[in-house]
Amino acid sequence: MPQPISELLLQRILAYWAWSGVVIDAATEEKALAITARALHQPEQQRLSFSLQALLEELPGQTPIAAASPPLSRSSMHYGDY
Amino acid sequence: MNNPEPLPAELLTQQRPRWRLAATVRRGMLSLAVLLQTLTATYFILSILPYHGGNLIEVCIAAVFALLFAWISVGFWIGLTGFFLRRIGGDPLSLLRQQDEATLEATPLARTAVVMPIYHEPVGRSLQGLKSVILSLQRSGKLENFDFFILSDSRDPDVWLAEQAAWDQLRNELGMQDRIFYRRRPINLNYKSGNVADFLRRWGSAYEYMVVLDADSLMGGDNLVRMVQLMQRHPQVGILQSSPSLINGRSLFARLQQFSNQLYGPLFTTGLAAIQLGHAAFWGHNAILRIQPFMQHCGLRKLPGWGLFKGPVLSHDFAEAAYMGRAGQEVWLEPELNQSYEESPPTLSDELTRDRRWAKGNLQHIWLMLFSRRLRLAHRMAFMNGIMGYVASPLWFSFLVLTTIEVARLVLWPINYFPEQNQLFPLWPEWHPQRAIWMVSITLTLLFLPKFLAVTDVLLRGRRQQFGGGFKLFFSVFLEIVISALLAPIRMLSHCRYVMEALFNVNLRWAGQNRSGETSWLAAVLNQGIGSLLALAWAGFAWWLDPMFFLWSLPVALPLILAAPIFVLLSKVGWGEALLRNRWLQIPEEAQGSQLVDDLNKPSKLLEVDQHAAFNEAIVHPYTNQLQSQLAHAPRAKRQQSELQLLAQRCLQEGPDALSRAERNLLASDATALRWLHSQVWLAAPESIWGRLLKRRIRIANTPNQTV
Repeated sequence: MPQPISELLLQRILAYWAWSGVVIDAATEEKALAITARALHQPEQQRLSFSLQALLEELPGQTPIAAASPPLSRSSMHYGDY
Repeated sequence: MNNPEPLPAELLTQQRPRWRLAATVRRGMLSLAVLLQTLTATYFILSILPYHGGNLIEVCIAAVFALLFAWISVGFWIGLTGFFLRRIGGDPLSLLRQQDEATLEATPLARTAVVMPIYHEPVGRSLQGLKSVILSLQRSGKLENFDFFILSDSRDPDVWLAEQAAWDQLRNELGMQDRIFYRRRPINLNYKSGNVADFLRRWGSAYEYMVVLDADSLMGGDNLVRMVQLMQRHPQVGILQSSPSLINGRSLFARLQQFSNQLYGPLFTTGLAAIQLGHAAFWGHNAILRIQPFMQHCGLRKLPGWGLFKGPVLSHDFAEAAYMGRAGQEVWLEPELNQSYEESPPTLSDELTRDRRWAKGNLQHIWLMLFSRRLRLAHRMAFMNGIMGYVASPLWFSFLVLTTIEVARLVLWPINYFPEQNQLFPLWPEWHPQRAIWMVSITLTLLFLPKFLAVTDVLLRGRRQQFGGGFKLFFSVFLEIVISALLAPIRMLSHCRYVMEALFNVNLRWAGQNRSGETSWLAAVLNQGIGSLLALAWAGFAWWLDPMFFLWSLPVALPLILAAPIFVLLSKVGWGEALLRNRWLQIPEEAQGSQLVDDLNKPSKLLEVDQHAAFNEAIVHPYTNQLQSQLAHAPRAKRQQSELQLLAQRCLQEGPDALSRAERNLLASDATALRWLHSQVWLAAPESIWGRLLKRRIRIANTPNQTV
């Protein structure tokens, strides 16, 4: 049996938030339900994009990660005889 | 990162040049002992042979025997030296004993980079190991002197994306965003040594020392601190090598290896260190190096010869030690630096895979040994030692072939009593079976006496409980001796193949190597079938020639015939764990516990990175996508962008498995492509490929005991 669209939307919203570090509590679940409800009022083709857009708006902006390597401190390797 | 500051002169330990004299005396005594023992044994074998070396075959037998006997004699005397030194409390000339404990303790540290070069290693395990090292340094209170670099050469996007995710996880867990770094070379030049050289060119000058770890290395914090302090006090030391013990084995094979390493190893490393002193070898990991002279003298040129002897140096560590020695730097092996660990390959199959690589690398050293200029004799001998580690196998094989020819000649051809013209008296072949038995006994003594001395050392030190108690210790030793005797001919035949492959620069591989946890019967039969048939034919021929010769051939032929079952049974994890539960083959870390090892085996999120395909994760998971995008290329030129867009479209429509590794590499390296794919996947219809992948991923995350 195909998954109902409301379940799919709710599942994706909660998963996205959880993976983005949002704590899933009752208040978050309510927000997710509200987005799902609003998305269901959208045309069928736009429900997923609407919910993605809405869930992203609830997330804080991207935080840049710390540098993967320290500032360069260049010097040379020397190649002598065999 | 601060620029390194030299230690004030008053803190430097006065170098005692007496070790050089001692080294000369010790090496002279070792050479003399080996020479006398070998000459005596060769004389003895000539007396055993029917014509006492009176024909070419017998001369060849005696020559090969002399080489092999000299080789095991070196091991015997090194073991004996180690036993003696351990009985008197250690080598008084060792680096660790050149100052007292309090002086060493008071020595300030210098900036040190801990580098872990990795190439397609199990990601979770490698980084969990690094985490254990860092936690141990934290406990030592000296963490602030160390920075950590993961240096990746991995090419598979599922591996290097997992490495990046695990690295991020590690530094977040430890709160060390500015101390644990990750670097992946865009081009892999010159294998591991090229990877380390790449690090040194970029950041080497910011550090005084570099500790090199392997992916399976573990080093205790106190030990690392001690190594830095030793380097600080001895500015003439370029490399200080610790002696890593094997730990954490689960399969029967790995447990046997680590038991023998921990029981017998200290004797041999103590002896070896005493002979080498300041001219020791570098083993490539679990060692500390002084960066400035290393960069000045240890760049490895490509070999200019032909075949095997052309191209990059495969086994770099011995060459680097030799070059350090040439530059006047000392290289020390310090067996008393404890808390230095690595892991054994889990199966014999994995060990032989590694040996194939090492055989090629060590045989390449023939060129360096013969043609490198101004190397120290001790380092040329170290090359020779490494070469003999593999060449001993074809020598042993030749010995078997020659003895078979000798027996066949005597049985099948009529005996010529008058080989010379005008000979007055007949030449009788003489048989001395009792002398042959003596010869075998002497050889076995050389092989096994050091093992029994190692057991004696353990008993005299009151350490029997660490190895399971007296009875279990003896049983374990017996088991180890039986299995190592079974393994010797199998290793010999495989090494023969690897030496031939290396010397002729060809690949004679006849079956794929098993890389999974345990060895399957099919893989074992495919891998060892030819050797078993060869041994069966040889044993059959021996029986046909002479039943006595057949019995003589059995210790070699039988293990080869049974090679496949031996491969499979030794790889069994269940058997290894059953022995562990009953304290057979026990090692000290299992008896008394080790915080370092406990940290390694703790459940950790780092170990979960291997559970999901990292390429999919980089696209699906919001946080991972953000991380990987920020580490990837900035948007590229328009033409490249349009090509990548087409590729990303294909990835979206046909799924990740439809792309080649190179294509997935391209996408994973591009920030724009990663972000676009991420947004599209979350809009994917539930019945599409990515829709199904997403659903499965969410289901796994929602399953109890699974983390997101």
